[in-house]
Amino acid sequence: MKKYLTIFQMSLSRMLEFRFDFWAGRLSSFVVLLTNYFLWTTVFADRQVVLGYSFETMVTYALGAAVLFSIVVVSWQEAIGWDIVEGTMTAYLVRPMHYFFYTCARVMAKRLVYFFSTVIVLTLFIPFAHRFFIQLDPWQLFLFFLALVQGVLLYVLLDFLFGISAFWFHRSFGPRWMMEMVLIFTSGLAFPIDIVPSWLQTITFATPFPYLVFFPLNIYLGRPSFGDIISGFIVALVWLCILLGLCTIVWRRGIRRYAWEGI
Amino acid sequence: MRRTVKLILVFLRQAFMREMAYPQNFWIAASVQTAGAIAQIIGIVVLFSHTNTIAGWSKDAALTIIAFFGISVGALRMLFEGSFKQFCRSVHDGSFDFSLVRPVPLQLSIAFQRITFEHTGSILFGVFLLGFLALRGMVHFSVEALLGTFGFFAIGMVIGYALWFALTLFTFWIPNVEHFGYLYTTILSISRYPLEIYGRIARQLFLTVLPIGFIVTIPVESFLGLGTTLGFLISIAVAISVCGCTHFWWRFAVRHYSSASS
Repeated sequence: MKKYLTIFQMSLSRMLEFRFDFWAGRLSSFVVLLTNYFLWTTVFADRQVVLGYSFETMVTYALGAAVLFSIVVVSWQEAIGWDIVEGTMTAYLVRPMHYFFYTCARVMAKRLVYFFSTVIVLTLFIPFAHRFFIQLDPWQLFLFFLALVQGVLLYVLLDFLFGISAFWFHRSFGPRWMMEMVLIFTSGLAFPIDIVPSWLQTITFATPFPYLVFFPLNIYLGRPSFGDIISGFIVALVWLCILLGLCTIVWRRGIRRYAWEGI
Repeated sequence: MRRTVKLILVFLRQAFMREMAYPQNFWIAASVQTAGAIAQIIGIVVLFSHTNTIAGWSKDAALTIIAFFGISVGALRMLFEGSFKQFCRSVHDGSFDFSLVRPVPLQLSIAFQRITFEHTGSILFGVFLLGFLALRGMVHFSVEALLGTFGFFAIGMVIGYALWFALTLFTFWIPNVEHFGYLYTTILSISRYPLEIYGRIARQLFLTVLPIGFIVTIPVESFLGLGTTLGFLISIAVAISVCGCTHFWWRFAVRHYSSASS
């Protein structure tokens, strides 16, 4: 455990090495949040409810989706792809640690930095706080936190699974971009999933993607019933088990296929 | 001028050959771009399912903005994103020395040295959407408006290039400016919606201090028949000012380049 903690600390230092660049990235997320805010302010200028959402819930959803996406969807796939293609994975394989936990430690450091910088960015919205939906129910907040942790775990496994597809695909380009494409539509980033036709919702909720952003955010907004929350947690838990199994199988097969020379 | 065009064609040919080494990557990237554009269209359709206008813009006009956004920003990214990344890397590893001694106009080689075709998907989608809107009669335009739009579009591209290049020049002082390109494209995404939604002051800001309005919004207004000769002249004046400022900034910045080997 100590070695992974050290990797975590080193990754934190590396993340903060280029501070200007880092804050440029954070400023970008602020611009996205601000754009969403102004868009919905204009849409709700002359009406109270749109698509079943009030102004407060829709603005909170739009901003929350961007915030959760930046915290949950933190990818390490490209680095995994490079490690496999360039052969640098060999160096990790001979060390007394598991590559999966190594990537977890690194990506968690990245996620932590993103989380705190997002909190800083959100403080800029404090003057507009009265226009957002603030959830005060501790039980609802607890469920939201639980769903968020579950979303993070789901994404870590998805990310690793698509990353190690580089054993078969060049730098995992194809699967990675395919996943990006699916995420745009099904995670709830582009629009709330509950506004699409019910048959499409049924299909989407059978995949792990809505549990990354939409599900936790919807709990925060207090929209789903208790039954929906429980069934959501169960489906996500089943996906966690499936992905864990898939990661183990694909990793073992990939490692058998992996070859390196001259390092 | 002929030499410049010839050089750009050489860069384009090189880029095409590089892209064709991994043709699947091109198709996958094009699919992702198209998916992103479809997501934007769904967003617009959903927004307008409950209203006829947003900030005075109809659904068709908003879709025209999405189309122009795809074309303009896609073209900017296709031409300059890879090139500017390459430029930053070369400044830090010292290989910029080679660019300095080449018998090629320096800014030209920096701007076009690594054209990428990853964003062709959004350009093609924009063109397709514009064509669809025009064929369905959802937007009405004249030949004069189309010619004017082309002029506004060209000016917008010049402004877009100059602003991006100015931001990239920070690479002479800041070691890693990878996210600066991301920041710039995010700022450009402000013009994905009508500038009116940000309020009157913000609109003025995006047409003067940070003139990103000239990259998408003004060409769209021209396309919809709202362009004026005065507007065209103002656009040229803004483009000249931005290019002039960027040129002075470039001359100042390049003096701070110290080769990695010296």
